[in-house]
Amino acid sequence: MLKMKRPLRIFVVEDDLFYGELLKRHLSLNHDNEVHLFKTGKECLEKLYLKPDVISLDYGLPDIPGDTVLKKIKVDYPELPVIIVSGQEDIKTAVSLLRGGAYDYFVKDGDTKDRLWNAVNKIRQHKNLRVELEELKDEIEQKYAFRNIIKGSSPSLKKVFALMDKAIRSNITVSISGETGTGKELVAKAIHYNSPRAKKPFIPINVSAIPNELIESELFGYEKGAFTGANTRKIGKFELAGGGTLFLDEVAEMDANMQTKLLRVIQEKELTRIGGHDVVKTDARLIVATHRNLAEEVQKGNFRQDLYYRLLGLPIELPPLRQRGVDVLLLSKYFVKLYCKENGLEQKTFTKAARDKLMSYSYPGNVRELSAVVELAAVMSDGKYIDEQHISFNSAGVPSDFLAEETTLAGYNKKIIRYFLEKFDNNVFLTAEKLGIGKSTIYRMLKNKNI
Amino acid sequence: MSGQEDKYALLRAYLDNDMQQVKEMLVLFLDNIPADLTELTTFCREHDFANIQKSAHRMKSSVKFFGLNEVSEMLQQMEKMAENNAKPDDIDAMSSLLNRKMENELEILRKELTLL
Repeated sequence: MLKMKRPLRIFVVEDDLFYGELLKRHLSLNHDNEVHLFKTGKECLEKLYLKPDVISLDYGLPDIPGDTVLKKIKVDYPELPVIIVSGQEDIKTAVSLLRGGAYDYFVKDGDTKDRLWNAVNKIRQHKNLRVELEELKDEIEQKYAFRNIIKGSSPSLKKVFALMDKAIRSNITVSISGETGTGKELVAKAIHYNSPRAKKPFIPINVSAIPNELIESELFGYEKGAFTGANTRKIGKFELAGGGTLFLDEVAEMDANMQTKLLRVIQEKELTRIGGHDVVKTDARLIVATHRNLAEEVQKGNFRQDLYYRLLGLPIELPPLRQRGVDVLLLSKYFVKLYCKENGLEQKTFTKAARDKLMSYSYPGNVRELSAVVELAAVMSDGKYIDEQHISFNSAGVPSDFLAEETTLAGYNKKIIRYFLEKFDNNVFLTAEKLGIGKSTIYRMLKNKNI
Repeated sequence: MSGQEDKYALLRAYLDNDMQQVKEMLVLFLDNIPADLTELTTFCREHDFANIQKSAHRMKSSVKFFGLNEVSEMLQQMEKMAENNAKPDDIDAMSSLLNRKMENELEILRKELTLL
């Protein structure tokens, strides 16, 4: 949403009432300027709460010297541009004021109005750019408001939302686990863009996508001449994420040597670029993700235990889509709306048969797979409805793993009932209806802890 | 009229040739300058060099907007005299000269105001 642009607020501080009024009228020729005139330094300082965008300050004020007014302004508003307008051409004074933070120094002469006009216009351009930047940042924050990007209302997802809320309100390291396609990076982004670090960078890096020999330079950077080909200094991802968030995706794929180096940086909160000597402080928040079970990787000896405990922080486990029950339909509805719009198609709805088909699949590729299935279905359907024949699943997503482990018929029955209970959020009625068995059968099995 | 336009050239440049605003600024100047002059005259009488300097310095810019270049030069001279702690008699002499000159100029400006 675009913010209302307010006019550029200019303070003219000038003890010569006539000249002050003249400057005010001159600057007001641009109707995007809102000019306030003050006769003394005291009045100006008292009105700083109005948050001017620029101050034109007469150096020779009757109550407080111009340099003192400048110093006082800079204490609370170091970024506020202050233009000194002086009746005296004194290089020493000018240099001293510019060193003291003055934006510019003009001598009162025939060109003053043009110089002031140009300086104010330049400041306006900078301000507009800053506003645009802030708007873009707000837009991103809005985009990543997590209930906007992570769709669903299943109990398992509500648990995720509760944990995300905690992550947003703290600085704790977050470890996200979940099958591929469950939205680990989206969750990481949502945490970052809803946290106080939102205005700082979110830097993602996929460890598995970078060869082992390059990961160190990617993370920590290097100095010019550190190795053949290092023609310039490179800032690493840790430094780039300063004040913000570093997202290490597929962290379990990191080799042992790199794990040691990462542990050191996390412990010391500082790093040294490859080939460098200077120690660089880092205050990036870490969010890590993996599709593997890190605890198991520690047991297998593939992941350092000390690093594991450093990274564990607040664990968030993203449920696979097959455990999110009716979220499948909610997400399908969201995706079909999105893709119809993107592909210039009329809006479509799913028939009952299509909905049943969507619900009958296990989605090994999770939300990412559902998204692809729905986009294809939207394109394949010609009318207003998406029917079951428009929906095709490419992966062997039917619960084939039922057969992976040989068991008795009773064992298969248990697995099937457990599968559908998970799918329908433990709704016994829906499960019984789907499987064509009595509810009491399921209740009995639950009571006897048979499933 | 052409002479008058030249006289106000600097002022017009500041106000984008808006003659109504030029007129308003002339009124403001004529309303305020007598008090400034009285103040400066008092400082001269008291030989308050610091304030003479400040006052003359402030006034010398404003008068230029109405083509009062001679007055502006006199004010600049007075500022320098105060800065150099000139003889009180010289300050007194300059003050009366300035007052006489200013009275004449203001009279002319008041007449011009009715024609604007």
